[in-house]
Amino acid sequence: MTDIDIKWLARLSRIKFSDEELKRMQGDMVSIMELMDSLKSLPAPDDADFGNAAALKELRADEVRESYPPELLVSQSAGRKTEFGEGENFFTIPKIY
Amino acid sequence: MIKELRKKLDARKISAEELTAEYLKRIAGLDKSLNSYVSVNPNAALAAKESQKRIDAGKAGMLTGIPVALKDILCTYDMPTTCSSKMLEGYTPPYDATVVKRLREDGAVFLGKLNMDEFAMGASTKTSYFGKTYNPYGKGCVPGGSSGGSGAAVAAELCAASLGSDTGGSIRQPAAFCGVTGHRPTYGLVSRFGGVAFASSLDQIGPLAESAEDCALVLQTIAGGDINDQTCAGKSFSAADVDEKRVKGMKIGVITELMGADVDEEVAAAVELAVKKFEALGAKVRRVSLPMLKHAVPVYYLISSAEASSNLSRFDGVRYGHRSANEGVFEEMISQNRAEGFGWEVKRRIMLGSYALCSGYYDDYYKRAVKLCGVIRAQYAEAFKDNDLLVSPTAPTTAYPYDEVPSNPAQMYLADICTVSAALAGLPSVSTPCGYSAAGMPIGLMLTGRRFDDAGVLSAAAAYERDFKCIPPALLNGGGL
Repeated sequence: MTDIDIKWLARLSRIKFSDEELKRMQGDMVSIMELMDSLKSLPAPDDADFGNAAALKELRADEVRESYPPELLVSQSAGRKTEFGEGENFFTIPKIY
Repeated sequence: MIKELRKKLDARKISAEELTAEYLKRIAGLDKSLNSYVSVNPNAALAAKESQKRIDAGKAGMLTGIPVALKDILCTYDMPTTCSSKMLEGYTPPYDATVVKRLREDGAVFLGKLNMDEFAMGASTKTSYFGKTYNPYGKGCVPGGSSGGSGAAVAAELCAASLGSDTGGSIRQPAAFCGVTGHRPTYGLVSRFGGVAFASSLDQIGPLAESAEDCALVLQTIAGGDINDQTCAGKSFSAADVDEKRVKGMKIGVITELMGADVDEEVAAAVELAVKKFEALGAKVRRVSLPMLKHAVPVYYLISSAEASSNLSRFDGVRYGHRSANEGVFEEMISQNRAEGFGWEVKRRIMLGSYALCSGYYDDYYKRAVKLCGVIRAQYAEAFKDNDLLVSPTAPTTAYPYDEVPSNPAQMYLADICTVSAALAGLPSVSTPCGYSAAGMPIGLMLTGRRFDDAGVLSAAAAYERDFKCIPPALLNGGGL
């Protein structure tokens, strides 16, 4: 795993690392991928059973159900804003760019 | 234990308030050194009072007034749910998990939330943001994980039963390390709604308790269909279907791949003795080979980490969770929130999952792992043509001291070899104590059954437990940790 790979993976994972942490993670990932690479020599049939995730039942009816009060949902956000008036509940984020 | 407590409560030999107060007193005394609880329910006494009203009205269910505790991965609308992570420190969900709701409806009293490896990623509780839990059997050992608090609290009698979650062994391995019984239900028997998702195709919620009978009584309450979980099969479970007599004539296969050189001699010897006991109980025992199980660890880590990288993307610090003081622009803020909120092991799994899923590597890693998971399922299906139950150790070793937790991640992951396969195949699997090492640490026996034959595995475990003599943990004998 190269320096470029590990920086790219950190970006994909949306996790900020210091240079020192990135080096440590790179070492860990090399060790982990050695274990994962042990599967490469095994024949992998195309007709495999795709498992638990395929056990979906029928979908539930598409109908309106009662939801939670907005103020309750917003109450757990550290960036909540409620000063825009009664009944106004917002999550806030910084500028996109 | 639950049936005994039920009798005492119904006969008014003890009230629900007195019983809860007794457990809270024990927690206040013993949990300072054990650290099995992340938080104690401040409303437990009030809940006990309500349960007593139900008992007095003659409307008690099986768990009414029974003090239980919950792994801190299960959402509770009236208590924080942290997943033992800084990311969710102080977070209180707006709703109950379905399993929590069902226990509440039956009148169970929640004593609190139990410690775990952060986001259920680990096998020791070492990765908890709120400190390590110690094994009640002492010697500075781990209680196992990720449901380490759930195992330790049951062993130390700090709750009558607990709930844990098992993605690759997180109920069974701590049960084995702490000398209690832990059951991973068939995938789809118990709703996952409100259990914070780690790997959705593998996660299952299940009980840890003093015995298979107690596990069955808790399972009976939490099992069943749920409109909020489309992978829930809609099947119910009755504790009355657990019947020790089923062992007679049962065909039991011992998995040769999980009895090899990487299993401690003491552990293998205890499992062999247990197998002889099953023969004495009238079971027909044979050796069975499932060759792909040797490769199950990397298959499990690729699938579970891929799903985790996706599931944990919701933790961005915007709607809930840790928000950094150093925000920057939007993307920087999210990366910073996650850098500060997640511990190292969680970051490692997210990185591995992102790698396994990304363009260029997807076929070599994630897709290959899914195909090989299919091979594992096929080998189990073949084995269950001639066997009713498969037996192995729950873990290759007994609990080890914290300072011996491997620093190499791959080496640490390989210790999950015994438990991950049943999870990948979605099978019911129980761990029950079958012996003790020379150092006095418990050894776990794992029994795995056909899909939805949870009653079969619990019947066999109950039959085995009938004459098994449990040695109480050092903590209860006045010993240190």
